[in-house]
Amino acid sequence: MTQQEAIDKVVTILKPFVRNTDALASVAMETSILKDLKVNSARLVDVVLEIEDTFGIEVKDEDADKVKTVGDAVQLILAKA
Amino acid sequence: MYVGNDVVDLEEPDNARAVRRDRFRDRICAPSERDALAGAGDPAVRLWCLFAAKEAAYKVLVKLGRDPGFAHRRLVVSDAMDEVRFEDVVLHLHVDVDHARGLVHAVASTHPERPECAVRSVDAGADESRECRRLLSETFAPLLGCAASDLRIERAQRPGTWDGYGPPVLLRAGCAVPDLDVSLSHDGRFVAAVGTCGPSGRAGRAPQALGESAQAVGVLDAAPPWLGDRCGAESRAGDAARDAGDRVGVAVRVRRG
Repeated sequence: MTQQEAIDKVVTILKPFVRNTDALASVAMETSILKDLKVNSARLVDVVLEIEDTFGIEVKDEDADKVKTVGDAVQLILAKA
Repeated sequence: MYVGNDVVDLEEPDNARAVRRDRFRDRICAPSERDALAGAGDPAVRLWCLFAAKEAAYKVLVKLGRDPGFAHRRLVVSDAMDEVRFEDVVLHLHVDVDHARGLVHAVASTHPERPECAVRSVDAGADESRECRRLLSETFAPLLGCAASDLRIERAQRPGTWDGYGPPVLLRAGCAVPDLDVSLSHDGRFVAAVGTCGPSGRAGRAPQALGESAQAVGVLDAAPPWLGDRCGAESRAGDAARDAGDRVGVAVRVRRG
């Protein structure tokens, strides 16, 4: 899987939970999931579960803790998938 | 004294969906909590109570210089929902369920006394962050003897945190209101604001010499970043410490050196 493929899939996962759709249109690796996309904390748990299901990986709490940006999510997925 | 809060809109569709997933429950709940959930009359509501309690506690723990991270299971809520524990820290907890409006509101605090709380509905499409801040200002202005427009809420940038900002601070005339710790939350149709007063028992008053009634609530080796630069609060805490001699009753005591 390429980095761009991973980004596209992460954006697809995030899309239902994002409240700032303008930020999603210009998403980049450094886009903050909470601050820029305004995904709330309960939805972060959903996002982690969706990442696990989509990529067939386990995301431990300490891994999830490091995922603050789209890029963090992509790097985690590329490392584990 | 530190406080944190979290409000959950039980009728928010994403919330209703999430709670039906066993893996969501397993991600949030410690084993003892899963056991209590199994016997609950309304497991969905109880699960949101647990989630809100942990989110509220998280906000306090950050102020205490702790970092639970993305580890809901490590914060353990008591069966009676009056305490939440993280490692060696035990926080007091107040959880309210309003079935009529469809919300859960949890407040965690370092002090057993229930903080000042306010929860309000907002219109769909409203700027939740602005409404939260408005609620906080309107709630505390009467207590502080000022107009809501005299108050401002600030969150300093803090790299490394989940959203890049530190906890909210209530400012009056540009300075942090002494002895007052606040917390904001919003979800779906609701915004919530809470605040807790220091040992003086009066919001906005600098700590006086407390004598026999003094109780040290927290002693930190350094002012947390979100407090240290706020003019007045830290110096007033230091003044009170000196006035009270060896007995200190301040919410934050900063050890210099």
